[in-house]
Formats: sequence, C-alpha cells, structure tokens
Amino acid sequence: MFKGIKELLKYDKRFLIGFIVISFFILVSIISLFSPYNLRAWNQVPRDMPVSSQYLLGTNSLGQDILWRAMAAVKNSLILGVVAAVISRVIAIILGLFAGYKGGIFDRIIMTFNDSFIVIPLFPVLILIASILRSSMNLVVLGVIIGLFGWAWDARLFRSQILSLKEREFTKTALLSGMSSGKIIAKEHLPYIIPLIMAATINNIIWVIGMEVTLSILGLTSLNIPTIGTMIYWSMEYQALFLGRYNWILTPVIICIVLIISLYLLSTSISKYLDPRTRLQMIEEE
Amino acid sequence: MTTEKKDVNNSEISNFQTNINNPLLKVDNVTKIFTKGQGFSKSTLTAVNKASFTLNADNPEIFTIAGESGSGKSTIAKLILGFEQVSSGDIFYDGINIDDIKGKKLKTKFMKEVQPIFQNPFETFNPLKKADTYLFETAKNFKMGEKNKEQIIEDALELVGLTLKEIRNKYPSEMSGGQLQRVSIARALITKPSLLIADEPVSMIDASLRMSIVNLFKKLKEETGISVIYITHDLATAYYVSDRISIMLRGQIVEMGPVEKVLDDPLHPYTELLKNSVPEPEPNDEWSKEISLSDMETKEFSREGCKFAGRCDKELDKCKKVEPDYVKIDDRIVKCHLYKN
Amino acid sequence: MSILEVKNLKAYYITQKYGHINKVKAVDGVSFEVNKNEIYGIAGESGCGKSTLLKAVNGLSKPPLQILEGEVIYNFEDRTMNILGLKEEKQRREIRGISISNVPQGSMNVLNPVRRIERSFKDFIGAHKNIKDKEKFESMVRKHLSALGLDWDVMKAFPHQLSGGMRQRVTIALATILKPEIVFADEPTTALDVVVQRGVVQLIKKIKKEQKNTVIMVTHDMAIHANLCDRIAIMYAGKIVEEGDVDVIFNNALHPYTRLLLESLPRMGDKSPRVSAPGSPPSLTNVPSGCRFHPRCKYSSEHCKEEIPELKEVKNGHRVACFLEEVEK
Repeated sequence: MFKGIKELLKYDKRFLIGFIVISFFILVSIISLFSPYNLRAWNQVPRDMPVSSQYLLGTNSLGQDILWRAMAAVKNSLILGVVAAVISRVIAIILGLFAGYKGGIFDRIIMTFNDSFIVIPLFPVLILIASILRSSMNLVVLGVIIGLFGWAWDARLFRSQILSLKEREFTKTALLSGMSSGKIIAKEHLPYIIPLIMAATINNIIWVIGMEVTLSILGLTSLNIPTIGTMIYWSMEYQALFLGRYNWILTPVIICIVLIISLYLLSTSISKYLDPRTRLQMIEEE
Repeated sequence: MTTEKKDVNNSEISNFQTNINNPLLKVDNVTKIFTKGQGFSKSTLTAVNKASFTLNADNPEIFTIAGESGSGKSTIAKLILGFEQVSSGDIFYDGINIDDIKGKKLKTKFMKEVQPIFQNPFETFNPLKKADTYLFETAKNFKMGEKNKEQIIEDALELVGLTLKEIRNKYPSEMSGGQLQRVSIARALITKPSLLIADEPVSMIDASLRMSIVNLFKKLKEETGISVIYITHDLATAYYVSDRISIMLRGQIVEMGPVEKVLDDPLHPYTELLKNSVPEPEPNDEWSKEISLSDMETKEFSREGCKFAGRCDKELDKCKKVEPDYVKIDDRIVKCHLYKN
Repeated sequence: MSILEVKNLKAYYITQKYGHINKVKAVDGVSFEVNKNEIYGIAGESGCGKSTLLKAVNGLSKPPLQILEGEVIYNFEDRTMNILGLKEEKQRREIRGISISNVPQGSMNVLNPVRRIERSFKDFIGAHKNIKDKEKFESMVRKHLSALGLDWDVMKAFPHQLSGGMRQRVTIALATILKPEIVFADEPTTALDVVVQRGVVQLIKKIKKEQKNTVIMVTHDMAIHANLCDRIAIMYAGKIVEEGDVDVIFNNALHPYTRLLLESLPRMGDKSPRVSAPGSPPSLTNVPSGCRFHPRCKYSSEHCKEEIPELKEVKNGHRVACFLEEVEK
C-alpha cells in the first residue's frame, strides 16, 4: 500500500494536491484540540475585530475567535463525515453483498427495502428528525442519523458489481478448485469490490459534509458546536455578508469548497489507481 | 460391404455401440428447455432435444460433440457438469444419476473425477490473481498430495508440458493463450479425473498452436486412460484427435459414429455440408457450390419436422412435417428420412 | 499498378502510467505493395501486429497508437494521397466508405442494435453521399443486396433478430455499398461457425468480382487465406517475414516460421501426427535481438542473433527475410 501511495504522489497531480490539502486539514484538526478558548461559549474575545496579528482571522459578532473556530469546524466536519460514511458503508456493504450473493427472495426483499430508502425524500425526513431531536443533537447523533440514511445508492452499486462477478468464469474455476464461498468472496471478488468501496466512501463523506452544512444553515443542528455549517449559520444570522464582515462568512465557505474539492481529487485518483484495468496494464509492463 | 440397417428408438441409442456393463458416462434421452420471460411474453427454447450417448469406462476414448453455435453442445456440457438441470431424461456418471449426487462426499467425488476445461483461458482465471494459486487451491481442497503438494502440481504440469518454475508467480496476462490453456488443463488434472469435458478448448488459440493442446488430449487418453468429451465446431481438429464423433443440429444428434467413417463418408446431409465447409489449407481446393445460410435462427429451432429441412438439398416431402427416426447403419446412427427402411 | 504502397512503417503503442512507460512495437519497419484488383492477405499469430498494421494503414489510428515513421500512399482512381499526411478528420472521413472501407471483426460493432438495418444503411450512405431521392436510395441498396444474395426482408429487421452469420453478411454489404476501391477486413471470419464462414468468404469473393475492388484481409487462419487470397504476407513480431503468391507460399514456403505454421495445421482425412510450432511468439515490448524468430528456429545461427535479416526478393514476387536464403545461395 505504501508503495502505491508513493507512486500516486509522484505521478498523479490530483492525488498530490488532494493528499496535501487533506493532510493539512488533519493537522489543523489536531491543533484545534489545543484551542485556548472554550469553543461553545460566547464573548470570549472582543467582538467584530478585523484580521490582525492578534486575531489572525478576526473575531465574529458572538465574540469568538474565527481562526480557532474554523480549525475546530474542520475537525468536527471531518469526524462527522467519517463516522457517517463508515456507518452507511457498513450497512451498504452488508446489504449489497447479502442481496447479491444470496439472490432469490432475499435479494428481492432487501432491494425493495433498499429502494424505499432511495425513493423517500431524504431531505424532508432528515429535517423532520433533526427538528424533533434538536435538543439532544450532538455530533455523534447527527453522524449516526445521516449514516442511517446514506447507504441506499451504494448498496445497489455493490450488489450489481457482485452480480456480474458471480457470472464471471473465474468464479466457476474457483468453485471447481474446491474453494468455499467465503474464500471466493474474499480472494476472488474483493479485489474488484474494494476500489468501489473506497471511492464510494470518500464520495459519501463529501455528501455528508454537504448534508451537515445544509441542516445547520437551516438551524436544525446543535448550533453551539463549531462546524462548517454552524459557522455559516451564525454569520448569516448576524448579517455578516451585508455588514461586510467577510472574514466571518468567507472562512467556512472557502474551507468547505477546498475540503470538498480535495476529497474529490483523492477519490478519483485513488479509484483510477485501484481500477482493475489500470492494475492489469501495470502488471503487463513489469 | 453389406450395410446393416436397423431402426432404433431413442433409449437404445445410449446403449449403442458400447458395453452396457460399465458405462463411465451415460446420457439417456436428455432434453433441456430454457424458458425466457414471464407471464405473457414467455418463450421457450429447446436447447437439447432427446440426446443420448454413452462412454465406456473400460475403453477410454475421445468423444467429440460437434456442431455450430446454437446446436446445444455447450448446454450438454453444462448439464453433465451439473451447472444446469435437465428438463427430462437422465445422466448417469459411474452408475449414479447426477441428480442424486448430493451431499459433500458424493459431490466431492464427482468434482474430482469429472473436470471441465473452458474455452477462454483468460476468462477462466482471475486476471488480478496469479494463475498458480488455482493449482495450489485445487491440490489443497481436494487433499491431493498430502505431504507434498508441489510434487503433485509439478506432475500435472509436466503432463501438459510445463514446469512450475515457468509459471510461478505469473499473472494470466503474462502468458500466452496456449500456455494459459495448458495451465487450465493442468489444474483439471490435479485431481486425477476420469473424464475431461473440454468445451471449445482451442477455438480461442491461434491455429498454429492448437496442435499442442489437441495432441495433449491424445497423450492423456493413451498414457493415463482419461476419457475426453471434446466439444468443438472445428472439424479438422476433431478428425485428428477423436475416436467417435456426434454431430448436433439445433439440439439433436443427427449422426454419430467412428470419426473417420462419419467425416470421410458422411450420411446426413448436414454432416456433408459441415465437412465441405471446412476450409483446407490448400490453395486450389476451393468451394464450388454456393450455399444458402439460415437467416432467422428461431425459425429452425421451432420447426416441426427435420431441423435441417429448408437448407437441405436432398429434401423429401415429408422432411418438413415429420421428425425422422434414428437408423442404425453398421456402427453408426443417423437421424434422417433418406435412410429409413 | 499498385493501389497501396507502404514504406518503412513504424507504429508503436506508447503508454505512460504512473511512471511506467510502455512501448509496444506492434509494427516495426513494414514495407509492402498491394496491386489493384487483387485479394491480399496478411497472416500471422495473435500478437504479431497485423491488426495494428491495418489500423495504421487505413487511417484509423488513435492514441496510444502512434505512427513514428513511414509512408502510406494510396493511388486511387482520381488521386494519390499519403494518408499519414491527412491531419484533418474531415479529409479522412471523406475517403472512408467511398474509397476505403472497413469490415470489422464483430458485426455488432457496426450495426446499431436499437435501429433497423435499413436505418443503419441510411445513416451510412447519408454520411457520405446526399440521398434526397428515396427511390434512388432504395434501388441502389436493392441492387447491391440481390447481387450478394441477400433478401430485402433483412432491411426491416433489427440486428438481434438475425443470425450471427446473417449479421456479418449484412455488415459486409453495408461496408461495400458505396463501391469502395479498397476493402479492409480484420478477422471477418473469426468466431463464426464453419458454414457461415464459408458463406462469408464466398460473399467477399462475389463482391470483389462485382465491384472489382481490392481486398486486404487480415486473419490468423491460413486455410481462409488459401481459399480466398491471391497473395499473402506472413507477419511475425511486428515484421513481415515472407510474402508471395498464395500457391508459392503454400507449396514452397521458405521461411522456417511459415513452414512451421503450415505444418501445424490439421487437415481433414489425415490423422498422421502433427506438431505445433514450439514456444510462443515474443511479447512486442521485449523483442529478441536480431531475427525475431531465432529463439524458436531450428536453423538459427550466431548471425541470426546479431543481425536483423531484411525482406528481400528471392524469386519473382517472392520475398523472404531470412539469412538461410543467403547461405543457400
């Protein structure tokens, strides 16, 4: 794996950029743990101070240091993204693999269940749940909820990949070589499925971040926790745009954009690298 | 030479020409019908239609099932291997009905003794895995070569003209089609099978390399007593390597017998057409007569009488309406109105 | 009079992925000429570069296939052109279909599965000529089809309704409807049933007789070459090793590879033991030094390892690339 990362770093600009940016963000997240301020409280510092050497990104109308808040926001958004993505991946993998391999009536039942989740308008449902749970909502709860809803598309994706793998002739050969089903899944099919899972995971993280921002802007999450979404919420509440307090509103927006783009770059470059066809070509050359 | 003609019915075909006492494989009046679609748009296709033949355990042979695409030959392979279920009729391996082969012990025995070889070696192996892993898996899972698996694998590879050193750690894409197909055959040989079912094993390999694979089958039969069911549309290699041949058309066996007799002196008009259409690597030996090709395949399948009527130049009136019976002539059988008593 | 002249053509596949540069020397210095109105065959095992040669010659080359050097000169009725000099896709498209036509390996690559055959014909003809007159279009197609022994009913069908053989023949009819001067066929009979194969070969012969075009046929099946072609060239590892009239090649092949190739073919009625050519063709990324066949050749000598033999004419129209000939002289 490390050889792969090295190769990717050297030859794929997209991966390089994505890797650097995300590493930077992770670093930032770690640093944010050492914040000198209480991130949930207001009036920690003078309000509405512009960018200066003391307050590197200025302060906001709630009396909070924007820089430290931004760093915590990055950390929280990343954690949220990962938690939710992992939960929904696990569900998607289990359901997708089960439906694909078992087939028959299991497949039908699972897919009907799955499709109902695709069809449900996710957004209103999340808004509903969020407004009910608002008081007890914290990051983890939010992550779990989003995770419980984000698996439907990808479950279908994994299932169809498995359906096609089942039909391949080498699956028959593996059966004839006496391999058990579990082994066949692990050794024959996984190399094809893993690239899919990786790409799907990263894409899901992007989706979750976007979802969090949306919910927060609508005021539906726990607004004192610094996240990208809540920062935007408060800045809008206090008319930062109109009042020309660009440091407040632009910080989360730019972070959001940069984060999403770099995740996207990582996702495409990794999945291209892991794509069986690319790997085949590289094998042939050696 | 007096030819002895005799009408035979379908169930007698399978017992025909072999010792009934010890059949290795007996295909008895087997029919396979595929249905597509559901409800109103159902359509059926009779892929195999009352096919019968028997292979003798005491007398290993290379038995060719020849036919064009859509003849049902690949379906028969799948039926024998258990990848599909018969719609009617029975298949017996070593006296046991294939439908009754359930449970781990019997299944394992069957899988060890009957091994397939597929058409496309590059599909047979997972391109992302090294080819030798399948050899090791087979040896391990069937408990061959308790102490020394490598030796068993080495022996199997030697039979096909390869060494473990040559193919170790190589991915399928690093080998040629011929080499890879030989690895596929070696894998099948590890369990010391009695019957190989080779489904178009050389059609994806260059014409110049086919001999090496086909010679291999001959050698295996002569040296280790393995019988081979060789499924192909290439009559030239069939002539070269087989003992008996059966010609299939739209699911039915239309002629069967020793390969030299059937191909040197074909009885059924379809066999004659097939034989004449094989291009010879001889510049001056050109096809003189023009042939008519079928345009819609479904038409032929659903035809009532003889499946070849419509393309046959010796067609009689009743050919389009009445299905011909089998007639036994010396040591061959043919399904054609022209030979009826 | 030669309709196509290829001089010293070099075409490689060059790909670069994550730092690995891969050069497949598919066509490595090939020169030959095709005469007007003949059927010229290019034979060889898979991986010898014959399909690439076809692509490079008929102007269908796309990256990663790069043409490094050489000339490909067509002498059409009304003009001469070096196809490699045509940069514009538009110019290439103009000659395609009218002057040059391609019959690909799989018929389904050509026929649109969701359109009736008639539509595919209309699209194809319409792309090259203006068909305002419906009657004219119909009569042209009808004449062509009946000359080839195909029923007009075929036009109303969808591709999947026809048998594989019929589809291939329709594809050939489509490729030749505008009476191209040259027809390129890349393995048109591979993967077809033997009876259908015969039908296709007969069809190609018929077309050639009717339209008097030149056919360049690529296939690994020597028997097809024997039945169809006038002259053939044998390719090995990116180079032509022998070329000549078809009787000469089959009865009096000089290059050891050609001889091995011919000896390994089974013939009906002959059960005498035969052997394949030993070993296998080299990978085109890593070709042997000197004569590329020397590792498999029983006559090879030190000289063969060091120097690449040139394709030289030994007898009238018979060219061979082998040092054996020089020694024997």
